[in-house]
Amino acid sequence: MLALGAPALGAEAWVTNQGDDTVSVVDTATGLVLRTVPVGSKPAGVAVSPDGRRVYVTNPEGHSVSVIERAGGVREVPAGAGPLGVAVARDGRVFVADWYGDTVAILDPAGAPLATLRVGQSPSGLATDPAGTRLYVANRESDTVSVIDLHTLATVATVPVGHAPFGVTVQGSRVFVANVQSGDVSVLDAASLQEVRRLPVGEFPYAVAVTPDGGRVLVTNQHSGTLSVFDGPEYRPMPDIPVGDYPEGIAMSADGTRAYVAVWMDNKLQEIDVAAGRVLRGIAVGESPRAFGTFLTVE
Amino acid sequence: MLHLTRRTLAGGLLAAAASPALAHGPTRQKVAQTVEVARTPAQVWAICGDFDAISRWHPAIASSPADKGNEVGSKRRLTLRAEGAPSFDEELVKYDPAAHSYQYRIEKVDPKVLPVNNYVAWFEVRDGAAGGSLVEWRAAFYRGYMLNDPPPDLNDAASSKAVAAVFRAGLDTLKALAERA
Repeated sequence: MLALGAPALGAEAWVTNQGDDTVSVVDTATGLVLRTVPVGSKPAGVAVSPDGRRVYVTNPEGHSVSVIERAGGVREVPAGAGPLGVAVARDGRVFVADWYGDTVAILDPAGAPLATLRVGQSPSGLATDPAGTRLYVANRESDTVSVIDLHTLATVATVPVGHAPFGVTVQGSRVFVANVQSGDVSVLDAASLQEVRRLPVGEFPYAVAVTPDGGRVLVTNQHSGTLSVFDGPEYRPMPDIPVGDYPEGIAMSADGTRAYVAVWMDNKLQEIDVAAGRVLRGIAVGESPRAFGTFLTVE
Repeated sequence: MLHLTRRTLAGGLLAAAASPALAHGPTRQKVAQTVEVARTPAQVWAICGDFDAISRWHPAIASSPADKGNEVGSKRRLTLRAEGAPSFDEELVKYDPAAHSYQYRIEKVDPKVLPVNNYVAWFEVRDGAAGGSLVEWRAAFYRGYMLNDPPPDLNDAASSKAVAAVFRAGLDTLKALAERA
């Protein structure tokens, strides 16, 4: 008798396809596209909720957020003039950057508006810390990061970074910010809220992924078509990894062995072997994938 | 035959320029055009491979001298065959003659000439069918109007259409030139 085991599926990558108004749901274990979810107009940002139940997608041209129940069902709720970055705090509150409004909207887990915070100019990337105490906002046109206390909703600091900060990633006691125009990454210390390092990368860096131990830092360079890689506590530069034209969103697997990169021009999700520093495979997704945010589920 | 312009590459558009202080909005555009050429990639590359060669195969471009040839960072100044001879610079980002490809960007162009912002493009000659070539020209950019609610002539569709027309005219002319020999 032919004995096939139960399918061993892994974490899912929820990849926003800006060109065809969908999200590709990729099983990272098999490389299969499990399904394609229609969302709003020109989806860009994405965030999986920490409890894994929902996925939030920003639709910049639809002026909305799609609230996707992973168990099934999608709702589209209004979210300002230019929703771009999105993040979900540990308590389930959803934060949405409004590129045109210079604000961050706070939604409840179902997508109902709770409050609006004023930040710097053209907020883009957002990240919360795992403890759920802070929100970091990259203000692209102000060259700053706003640090917001999630209990009081007060801005506790506005930290100058490089030129045109976009993607923000929190890992441990460090906050990494990709500065598009200055071609570098600002490393902030979460305790002092000072910039402690400035790492030169490629052309037009977009987003950053870091291994859970903080030992490897990967940065997508849109115009270079590469990942910049840094190793160890001193951020020693490693060889670049060519990944294709216009890499954008990047996310790290929970065990830090694999990274996933949306390659906008090539309509691919590239799977990277982090230790070896090379592409393992390319997975065809929808048109013009961006996957800007925390797009991997944790299984 | 030059049918894509009257006075500019984009067709004589008139609209308010975006505030230079504000960078792109959220939706980047992508245009890709290809042409099959019945010549080897080496033969096609010999015509179009030099960064400053574009005026010799693109009907809308009158001249395209490059200040540093095929070196990364070289700037070619495109002067258009259009009323007022508008011009702008394109900068070489990558140059890979072995792969028959190069990448370049536009730092700044008047949206009335070409309605794009943050424009980067790739030009590549690959192996095609039956010993021929496939030439691919691709670009990523934002529309000509940076703010929300663009006027119709500077919106996503109009900007993409303008770039596609530039690529189409160039590729079709390149094919005709290569195959004539």
